[in-house]
Amino acid sequence: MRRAVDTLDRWVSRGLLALGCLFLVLMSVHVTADVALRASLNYPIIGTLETVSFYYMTLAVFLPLAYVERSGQAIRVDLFVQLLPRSAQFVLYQVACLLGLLFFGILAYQSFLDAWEATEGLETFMSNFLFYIWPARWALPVGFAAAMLAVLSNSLRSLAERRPL
Amino acid sequence: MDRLEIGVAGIAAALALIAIRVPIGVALGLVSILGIAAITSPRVAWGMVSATPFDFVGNWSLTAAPMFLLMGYICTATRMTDGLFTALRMFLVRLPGGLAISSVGACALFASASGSSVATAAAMSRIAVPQMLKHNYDKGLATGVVAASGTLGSLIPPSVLMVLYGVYAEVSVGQLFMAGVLPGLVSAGLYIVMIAARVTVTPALAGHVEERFTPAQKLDAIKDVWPLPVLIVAVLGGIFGGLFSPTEAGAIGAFCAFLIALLRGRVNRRTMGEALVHTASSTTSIFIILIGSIFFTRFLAFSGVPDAFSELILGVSDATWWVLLSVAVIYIVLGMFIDPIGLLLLTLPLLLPLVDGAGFDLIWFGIIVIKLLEIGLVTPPIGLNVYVIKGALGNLISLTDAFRGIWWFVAMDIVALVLLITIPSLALWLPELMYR
Repeated sequence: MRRAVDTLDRWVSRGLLALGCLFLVLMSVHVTADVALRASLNYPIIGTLETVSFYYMTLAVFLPLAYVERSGQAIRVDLFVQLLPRSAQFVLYQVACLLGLLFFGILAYQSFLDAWEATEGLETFMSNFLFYIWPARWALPVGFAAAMLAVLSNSLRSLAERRPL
Repeated sequence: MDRLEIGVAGIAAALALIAIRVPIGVALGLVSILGIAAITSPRVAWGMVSATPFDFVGNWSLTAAPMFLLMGYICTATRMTDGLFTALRMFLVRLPGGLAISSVGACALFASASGSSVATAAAMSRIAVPQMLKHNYDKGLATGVVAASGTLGSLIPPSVLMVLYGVYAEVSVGQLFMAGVLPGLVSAGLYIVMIAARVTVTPALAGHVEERFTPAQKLDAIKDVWPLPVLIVAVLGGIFGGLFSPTEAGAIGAFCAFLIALLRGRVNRRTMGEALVHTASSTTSIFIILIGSIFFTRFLAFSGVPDAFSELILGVSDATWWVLLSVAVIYIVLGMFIDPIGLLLLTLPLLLPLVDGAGFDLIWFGIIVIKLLEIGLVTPPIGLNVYVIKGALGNLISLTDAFRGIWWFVAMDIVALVLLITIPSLALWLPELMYR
């Protein structure tokens, strides 16, 4: 069970991280191309602002969540806990994992409902051209659910090794 | 419990959760959801969970944050700073504490090509500190100078902290960038004067450097200096020349950094992978706090705590010094434990109504806050920059040495802060000039 969760999490977090990185590259290239075309030929790329904000930004921000959790890079304050005995640190780590599961669970559940509703209504963004944003909504439930998987995997590993990660 | 009591209990609960090592974003987010449900209704809390993350992250101005991070990480991964330090030290070798002064200069320049203090300290520690230690520099001075000068990364534009503050406080990021220039240069200048003065009084601090460089060597060193100045001119020149906005500048800077790395033959899977993974994980870990902090802002607004807090502080006195002192105490105490971005996002919901009420200029206040956060970045026990340097150097130095060397620099930071407070035009003159 623990092995299976761990393996699944490893692939999911890496895959989503790679996708997130891809959208960072696209963000840089797309904006640069827009500015270059605007400045040289006075021919900006229509929809740059919308594509970058709604698609690249949401995907680049939410997809790597699992990787951040898995690699222990979520920003925490270690100072006080370090003064406690190892066993207390272990218990507090498990508490933090539970709270993480709860938080990401709430966000995953609600953003899934929102994405579903947006998909059914083919949600668009008010603009002077037709711009669909419903697909971008799916970055959130995917990212949050993957983060839950990563927190669960961390928690199981910590339980098996009986130490905080 | 009335709503004010729930608000205060919420702040206490969030701090307690943060103290037991719950990730900051999770702590702020959960407390806020429960708090809003308690003050209003669960339905309102769900409404916030539903609307906030997507609406907030899909924000054009915030795209500058990952892009400036990417630019800095590409510079670090492809070692764009190494040549600059090597060249500076050849020309400054005769000055008292020349190597340390070169470090300040190189950090200040790198700061204008990087949006982050930690990235600046990390980039410089690998090259500058070993050189100083090799020449028997005092260990505290060698590490202190890089830790402290690294903080220029957030003060000298571009700066990720300024992007976040600007979006949050709804002030122009371009004006904030301009406002940071002079305070950054003044801080660098104070460090340099202090180093030269200390080494003149106690020459042993700067070891024994007897190096002579031939004109040919100097010429050779200059050849590898170009990348950073070119990048800085491209990014800052473009912003202030009106070619593109501060938001677009991040993406363009990252692209230019990539081109420069390509020209220098430093683009490969390892360097680009390192830069991208660092950018993605920093971005995501910042944004999860950002989302928690937006929840927290809503929660505090419902509770009425920020207004009550403003009344409490302004009730004593609305003198500038008193308000700033209260702010400084909050940052210095919490800055000991919480990293700058987390602290900025944690405190703004409480402090912005206060300083707005006191009638402060929010650009000027932003620069003061960033300076305060930067002091927290080098003071114990958390002093993130010091840990970064220690991490980069391993057993070459001890943490005690590193923190011992920092106090002289903190003293200069306090001088800079006092100057900034007593002479607001230090920050406001350039933006007024540009945007008049």
